[in-house]
Amino acid sequence: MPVGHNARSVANTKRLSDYEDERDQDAFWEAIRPADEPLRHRWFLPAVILILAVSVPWYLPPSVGGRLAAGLPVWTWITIVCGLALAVITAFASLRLWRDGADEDGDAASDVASPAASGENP
Amino acid sequence: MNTSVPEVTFGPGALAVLGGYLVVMLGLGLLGRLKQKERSLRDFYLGGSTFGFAVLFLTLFATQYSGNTLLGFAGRSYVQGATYIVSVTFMVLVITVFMIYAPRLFRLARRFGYITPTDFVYHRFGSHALRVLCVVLLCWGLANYVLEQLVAMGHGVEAISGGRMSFMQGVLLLVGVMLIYESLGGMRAVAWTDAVQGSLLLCGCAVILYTLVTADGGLAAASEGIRATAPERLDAPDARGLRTWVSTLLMLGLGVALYPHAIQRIFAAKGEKSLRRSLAAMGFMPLGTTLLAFLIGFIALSRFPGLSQLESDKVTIYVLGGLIDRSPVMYWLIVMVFAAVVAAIMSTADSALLSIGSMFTKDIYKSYFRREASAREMLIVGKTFAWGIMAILILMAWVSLETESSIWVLIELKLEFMVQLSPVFMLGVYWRRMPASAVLTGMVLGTFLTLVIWCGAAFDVWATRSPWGVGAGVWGLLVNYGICVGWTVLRPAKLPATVPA
Repeated sequence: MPVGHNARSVANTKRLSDYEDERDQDAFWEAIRPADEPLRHRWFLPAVILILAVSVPWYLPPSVGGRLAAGLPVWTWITIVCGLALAVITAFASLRLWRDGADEDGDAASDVASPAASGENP
Repeated sequence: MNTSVPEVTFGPGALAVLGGYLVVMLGLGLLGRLKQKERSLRDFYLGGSTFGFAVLFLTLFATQYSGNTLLGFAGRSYVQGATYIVSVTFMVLVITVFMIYAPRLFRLARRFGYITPTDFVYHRFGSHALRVLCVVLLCWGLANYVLEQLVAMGHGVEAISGGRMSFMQGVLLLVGVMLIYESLGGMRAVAWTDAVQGSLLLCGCAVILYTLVTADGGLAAASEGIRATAPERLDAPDARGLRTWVSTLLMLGLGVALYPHAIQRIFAAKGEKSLRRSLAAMGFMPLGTTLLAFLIGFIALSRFPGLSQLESDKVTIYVLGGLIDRSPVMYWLIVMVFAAVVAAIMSTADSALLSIGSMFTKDIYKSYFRREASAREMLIVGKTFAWGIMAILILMAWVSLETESSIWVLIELKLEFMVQLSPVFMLGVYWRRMPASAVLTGMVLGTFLTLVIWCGAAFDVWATRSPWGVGAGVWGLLVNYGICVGWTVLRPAKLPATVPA
């Protein structure tokens, strides 16, 4: 729990700097790691950066705009295809590289909100 | 106004559709009120965290794609030409950025019951100054975001009513309906109305896309027209343009991913599976919506050359208005599209307003003014604050109309500051040794630098607010990240003895 109920009841008598001690940072960092996440896969970030690098037409001269394909300048199709590639890799990351490990749909009721963090009166 | 711009005349049928739509919105607000399980902040601001895939995806979609997407982005595409294709990449990048911090933030939100993004900020860093600064920057950004929607509302209703309703009458009508359903049902009402609005938006975009590529020679004719009148708008970017491109990717890709109302939808998910599937689907949406806005601006450039900055915000209205008299079927399709535009505007404004109310109530009022405030009192305060903010923003929308401020300028004011929160989330969820002092210093100096560059350009001290083609906010962000990383490397936070370094 980041801030306890009892601690909050006397909170107004404390200096601002005193609040920091009441947050349980061990609990915070224990809770933060999902079973799997995209950044844990070493290829994910380089792949994203590579797609972004190709999507920016730094390797083409500005005058290339005169060449059209399907009604648009050819170079814009490169950016559109890169956008599609980024969407595919993002969807893959979301569906296959991210596993929470604890929470699945339908379990929401079991998630008891911390009154301290949520600001609710207990 | 350019003489080639068509007069848009929708007739009474369109007004009836708009009226019917607004009645449905009010009905959903009432239903949201009746379905409320308890008078708590979690229920009002996060809908009790019960949204499954369909509602979550549609509310994310309707919230992310606003009136600005269909009006402002199209206007920007008109002004900038082919290089605005960058908009497709940055809107996909927003979802990619979610992949970096959402898995961790979602877990924390579930475990500790976060209501607002700044719940995380305080929990992670324990700094009041940092929390207040984050609330100020986020509310600043969101208020501008709502203001931008108000401007779009005015233009939308003015067009759909064929001039029978003025800009301000349109704003007041839509804001009135929005405030009523939002105050009645909170996030639940907002998400349900978003679901209707998102569906309308999806159908509307499909109709526009089909119409654009089939009518009047489609894109090929548009490109030929541009080649004849403004061939430079077809060119790939030059060296400065490339730097601006990368700067835009950074500012919008990182900044839009920090919209508090989008983060709160992460908190509102029923579970991990709904959230993962919704975000996966959201990654593909720019290819139907942002790309569409780009194409509208592109086609408008060939048909209505020479529009002013303010008029460029209306190119969507002009392009579609030019098709309305083709056939009765086309008339009703275009009416549906305009209903979708109005829906997109309202769905974004209501979500942003709800988010402002939640942050003020939870992070400021409850934390610093009335720690003993009950949930009921906080809900009343939150709604009152939202109504007050809206009154101020309506006044500002009127001023922006009088001063011919374009929508794009408002967007930049929003994101330039909001993006300064990026290290808080992107580094904050991974780097335990990063201290609050580093983040606070980075954010203060980053925001200050942004402000200096911006104000210097506004008061003509220097020529541009994008030195070397890079936006003021990105310069601030570079300083911000530099301080966070440098400070943490040189003076890392002390860890408890039990934690391995």
